[in-house]
Amino acid sequence: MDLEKVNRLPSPTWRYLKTNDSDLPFRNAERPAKAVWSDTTYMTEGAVLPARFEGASAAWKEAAASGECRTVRIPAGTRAVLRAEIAMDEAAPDFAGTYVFHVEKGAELRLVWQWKGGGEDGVCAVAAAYELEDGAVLHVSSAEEGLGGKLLCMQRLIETGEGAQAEFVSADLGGRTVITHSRGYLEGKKSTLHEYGVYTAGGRQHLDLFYHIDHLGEETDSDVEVKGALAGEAKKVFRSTIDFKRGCSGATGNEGDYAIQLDPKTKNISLPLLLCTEDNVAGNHASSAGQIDEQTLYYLMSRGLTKEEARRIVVESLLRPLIDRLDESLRDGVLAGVRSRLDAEGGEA
Amino acid sequence: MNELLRIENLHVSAGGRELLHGVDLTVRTGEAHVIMGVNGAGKSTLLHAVMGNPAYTVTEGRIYFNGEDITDLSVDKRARLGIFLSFQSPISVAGISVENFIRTAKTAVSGQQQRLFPFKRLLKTRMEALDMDPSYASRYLNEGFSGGERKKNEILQMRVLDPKLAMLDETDSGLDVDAVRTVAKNISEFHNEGNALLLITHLNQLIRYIRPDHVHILIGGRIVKEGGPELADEVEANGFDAYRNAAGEA
Repeated sequence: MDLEKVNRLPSPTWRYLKTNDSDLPFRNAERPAKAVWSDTTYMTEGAVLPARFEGASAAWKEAAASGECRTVRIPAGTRAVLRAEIAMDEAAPDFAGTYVFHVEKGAELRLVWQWKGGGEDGVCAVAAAYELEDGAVLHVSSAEEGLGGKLLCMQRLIETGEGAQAEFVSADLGGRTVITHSRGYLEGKKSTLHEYGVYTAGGRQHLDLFYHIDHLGEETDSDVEVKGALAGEAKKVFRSTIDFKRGCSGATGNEGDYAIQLDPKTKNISLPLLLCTEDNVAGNHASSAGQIDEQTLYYLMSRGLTKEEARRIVVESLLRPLIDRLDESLRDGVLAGVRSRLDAEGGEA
Repeated sequence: MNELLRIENLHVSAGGRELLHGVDLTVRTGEAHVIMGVNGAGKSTLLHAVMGNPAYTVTEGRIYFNGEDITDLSVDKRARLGIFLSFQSPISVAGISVENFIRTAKTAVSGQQQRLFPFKRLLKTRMEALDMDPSYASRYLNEGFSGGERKKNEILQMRVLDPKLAMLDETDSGLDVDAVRTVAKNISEFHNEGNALLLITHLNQLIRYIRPDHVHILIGGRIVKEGGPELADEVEANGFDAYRNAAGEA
């Protein structure tokens, strides 16, 4: 499989640190499965991504364009719920798709992506643009199960009008290599973009998570929060940039990456960047990674819980607040996936 | 009264330093013991050693509970035998509610699944007795709780888990006068002929409500004086200086 450079930092650091981008496997979706949509009322064939859509890399953007292309336009003042179920199997182990979601003035869209596995190998390449007009509200939940050894690349771009609110919650439990690339432009005054990610990774899984949000409008607000547990020899890279551009007076942004390393061979790289050319803003970044706190385990065990039970509670309790943000239909499945992963991995913590 | 806890010549180290230098202590069912001493005397160390905190190493001596040697037993097994420690600084765990946590713990220590509604009723009764807002049951464990609320939450756990030996590490600190009274009332209600209390306190605040059978003065990792409740009164009046001098501390 070819290697492709993805998720390049917008403000590169020293090259010897080898963190400016990642060289990860790439291939096109050759036998794509079909997405099943709960409702096609607002959907039309074809999709033209905004010119500034970059994606994880040019090749991945192109790979996504090789599959189905759809535009979804939610009319002004409408409230819509959409569910996309993508079930891959031995016959169709891949998926590719390019989408444009346009949420008109004052409209609301709740979108659920559900990915189901089958077929050990496979590629999943998605590019989606979310365009929110003034006062629009968007909530996107994404979860997968059984994706095993697949190569996933989820790319998106978000643009917000005045007072628009966007929230993305994704749960990554499977996939041999998982690439997330999210690019946000908070243009309208008082618009918000919140990105939440939860994951468990084991074996030799690699998660490469990229978030980059530009604050352009006044009093805009962003939040990037990623929490997860790494076991076995899993590796995770978190690159998140919040960029306060001149003119975004009163903007606030937070980014945080919190990882529990259940085994000593796991690797966690965290790069939460804050860039700023505007004075009157507030930005916070945080990162923590390490094994489970021994005193927390001790406290839980002092109430009769075994070490394994205590460990599960600690991991679940880290992830639970974000899992609770997922669409209700996905929560139980994700929680069960987390538990099964923890049971399977064991861990030395 | 049966012997519940017996500590023999206990030496405990942490971070390469010996903190307890040969402590002997016996607690029988129905008894209430108070350990008093200056900061850093080793009071909390003693309770954590009995609970099995892995941060402390027993280098010499044995701990027996109900006649069983528990010196090398894991923390959870000690808890399931009926030992409970109310922490001086309870840990917060976001993501698990108070109710879920205590229900899970009750299942673990009792070995019986806790049916939802009877458990909810029990929890509600215990929370009311502690003047705790019922909404705390659905809040994450100690997350955003004040110091006093955390202490009450510890006593709530003690009441629901109903241990044989309850060790309370400065439960009265961080509580206002009314809360001390409420907590003390709950401890009194919990204490009976079938269980025992081992309390640490700097002050006589709690002792006013729970009259101990035995008071132990711990200085420099050693018990230097033992007596009845009158000893606590004497300490309140005169401080620890006399015992510190006797123990060779400045």
